[in-house]
Amino acid sequence: MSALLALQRIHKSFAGLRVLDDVSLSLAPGEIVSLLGPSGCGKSTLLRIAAGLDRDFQGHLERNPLLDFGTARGIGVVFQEPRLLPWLNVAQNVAFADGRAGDEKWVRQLLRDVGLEGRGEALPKQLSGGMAQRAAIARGLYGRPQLLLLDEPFSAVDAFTRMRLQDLVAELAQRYEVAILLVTHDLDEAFYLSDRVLILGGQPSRLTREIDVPLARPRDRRSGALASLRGQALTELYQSHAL
Amino acid sequence: MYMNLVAGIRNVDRKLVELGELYRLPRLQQIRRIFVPAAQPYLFTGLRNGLSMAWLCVVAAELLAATEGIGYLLTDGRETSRPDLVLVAIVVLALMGKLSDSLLKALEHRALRWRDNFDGEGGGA
Repeated sequence: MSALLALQRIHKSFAGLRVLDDVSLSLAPGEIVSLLGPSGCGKSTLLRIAAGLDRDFQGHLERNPLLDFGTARGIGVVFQEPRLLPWLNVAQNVAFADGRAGDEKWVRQLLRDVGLEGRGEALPKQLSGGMAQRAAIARGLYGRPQLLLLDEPFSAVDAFTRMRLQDLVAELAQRYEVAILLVTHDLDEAFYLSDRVLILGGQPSRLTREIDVPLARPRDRRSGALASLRGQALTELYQSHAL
Repeated sequence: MYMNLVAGIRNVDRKLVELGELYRLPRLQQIRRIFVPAAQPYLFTGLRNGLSMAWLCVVAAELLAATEGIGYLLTDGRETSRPDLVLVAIVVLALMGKLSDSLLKALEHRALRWRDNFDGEGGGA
């Protein structure tokens, strides 16, 4: 298969309540795709299925064999909370996949990339929310993944930090040629970052609309084209009664 | 100690355990790298409790059955009406108990430097 990841006709229920209904999506290498929808619409569930954290679903999940999944090296995940291990310092957290045999040089490089240069020895309790999330991003990238799964990664930080982190992710995605599946409820974020925006809605959730974002990067948050595409998404959300 | 350890294991944040799942860590590694460090605070509480219990047991045993040792000194002093012996025994016991607890506390403090909790002190790190 040429796609990196393909979710086909996914059905998922929690305690008898159908949450996801016949959802399909696929991701090409280097592509950035957002899953947009209100809280509770199952988009995080979809991401967890893609990450392999949830195996209780109907449907088909296909991962390109290029993604060496056995060692979690094909996929990186960043959650809403940083989820750093509190007893390890930043460098050890970033290199967690390798434990003591971590690649120190690569860790230092990543810390430089995410703007945490020189902070490798710090403990998680000494970091601000934004810094901790940067460390989590570095950890996600440590395994040189081809696919990065982001689950509302910036919803717990303030708006300014959020914008900076979005720029960071866009830059790193391009530099390391990583495909990204981003779950978010933030319309601005979805359209600023993605090549395609998939809107999830209804009860149970379906993919109601797919919007292409054929804008060149780097993008301007103020651009009218972004606003108009965002407007299309809003229309869709109004129509599906999410708003 | 056992109960504290079990409490420690039960209290490990599910989110951290998920990390282990994500990285496909084998069971033993999960235990060693996530459960054990996370349960450490509880382990130390158990250790300190256990230590004081151990002291109590040692002394009680010596009171009952020893022919030497601090407990014996205590009984002997009492039986031969030597209150100074009794006093010395009590003070030494108290000192040893306090010393070993302080040592353990210092160890705990160093090992748990990473904890982001209320320390019992007002403000500051």
